[in-house]
Amino acid sequence: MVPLLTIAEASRQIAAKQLSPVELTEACLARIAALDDTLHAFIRVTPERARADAKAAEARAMAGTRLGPLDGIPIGHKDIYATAGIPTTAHSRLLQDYVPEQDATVVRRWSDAGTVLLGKLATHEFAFGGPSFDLPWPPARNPWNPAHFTAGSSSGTGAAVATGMVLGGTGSDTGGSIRGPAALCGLAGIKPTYGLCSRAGVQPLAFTLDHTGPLAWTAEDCALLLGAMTGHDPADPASADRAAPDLLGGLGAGVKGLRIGVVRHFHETDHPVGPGVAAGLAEAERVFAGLGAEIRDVTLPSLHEFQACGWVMLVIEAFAVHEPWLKTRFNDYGELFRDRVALGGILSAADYVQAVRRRRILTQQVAAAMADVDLLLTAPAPTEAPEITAVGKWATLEKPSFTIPFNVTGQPAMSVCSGFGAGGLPVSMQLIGRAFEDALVLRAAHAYEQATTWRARRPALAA
Amino acid sequence: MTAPIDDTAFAALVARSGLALSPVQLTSLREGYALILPLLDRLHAPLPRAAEPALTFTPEQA
Repeated sequence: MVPLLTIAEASRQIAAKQLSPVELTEACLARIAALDDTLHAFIRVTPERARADAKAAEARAMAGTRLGPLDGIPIGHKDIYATAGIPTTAHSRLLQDYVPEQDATVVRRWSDAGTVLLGKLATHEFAFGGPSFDLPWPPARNPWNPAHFTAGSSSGTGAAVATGMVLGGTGSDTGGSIRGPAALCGLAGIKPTYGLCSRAGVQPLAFTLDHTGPLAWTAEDCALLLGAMTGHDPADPASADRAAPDLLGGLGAGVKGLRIGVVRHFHETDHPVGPGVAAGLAEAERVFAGLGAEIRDVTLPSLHEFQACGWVMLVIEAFAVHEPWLKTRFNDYGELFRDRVALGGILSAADYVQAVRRRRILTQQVAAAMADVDLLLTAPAPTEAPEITAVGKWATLEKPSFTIPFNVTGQPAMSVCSGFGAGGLPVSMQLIGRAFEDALVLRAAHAYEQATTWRARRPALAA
Repeated sequence: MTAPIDDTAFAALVARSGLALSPVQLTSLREGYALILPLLDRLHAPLPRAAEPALTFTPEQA
């Protein structure tokens, strides 16, 4: 049996002809067969496609013509990413028979890089309504304890990556849907700068807040995956027309001399975190300081300000996307999605415009606060994963989110595992950079992972 | 603080949206609406009159 590997490790072994992409793919398929009845990470497994992709990758490896570091790496796509000829359901009854004719841009880019497609991964319905038990597929379960929540909406990607069913996968993040599952499943997950990765071919939730990005076991793996996602895409009106960044060249440069601003009021006052998360953040400060970073406190507008701006924009834009079906097929949606998005239908045009005016001011205030620091540090989630049945319909409205501020500002933001709390469930920190300084976020996350031992621990289910 | 609206006014607000909800669904939506009212108060706090939206129209990119 092939052991659990990171993308970087597997890629090195494939390049050295010590590991066959076919064997690696079969190992992933075996893990899916063993675990997915418990974790429900997949909507659809595509073994024939995976085996064909792997065989082609193996031929290239043997011929010395690998396409790059992702050639032969097993991955999965969140089921809101269009895959030509493969159903793309958005985990919804409304799209359960939808088969796209074209790949999403990111799907095509990963395919061109030689990845092996293992299947389509569970999501909250249309990336917003979950965890739901009234949909055609069950919600994904936390790989560290299946009675617990993965967070969402990239829930299947979180469960699949943690257990090695895939080595990496796509997510999307409108209010925290990459960083939440990365945090609660103990992974690395980056929401890149708005505009860095194409959204073309990905089911929209809220156009001005939607981001695409990767989840993987390590920051290095995220850098490898993100590197194959970036680049201007004329098919996405928000795509930044700028050169793709070098995410790997400086990855190992460390954090010596970097100034890290701790947004202490976010996680101590605005929304106090639990003891496990607090301990992980305190330890992260010590680790970064020990590596030569300068730690200082930074004050931003309160989490409540970002919550108001982000939530109102999100539900109104989502209502606009779904309005025709909400009016004609309301009961075909799951309860959580339809009730949350219906709020957008009863808010006013003035509410939306005031939110968008405030967005500019909040973004300017964060930029000003970062004039003297290179990165920000706070929590991505308040506690370890709760039990899946304890997540209420309005939970995300009752307490302010740690992640939505950086959907509002569009800055790169990443969840990084920072330890384990009560019951052995992971806790995480969130690192945030200036717009288009995604490489610096990944560099700091990589330095932290290299200095700690958390990446050596996998869920017991996957052992 | 925005005053909560009564049942009749809330039902009228929902009807104006074009959504056809059952009484149970109406009650559930009202719970969410109560939670969003404090957010609206924050958004409607005074801004400088010239504060532009983050989405400013640019004719070359429309």
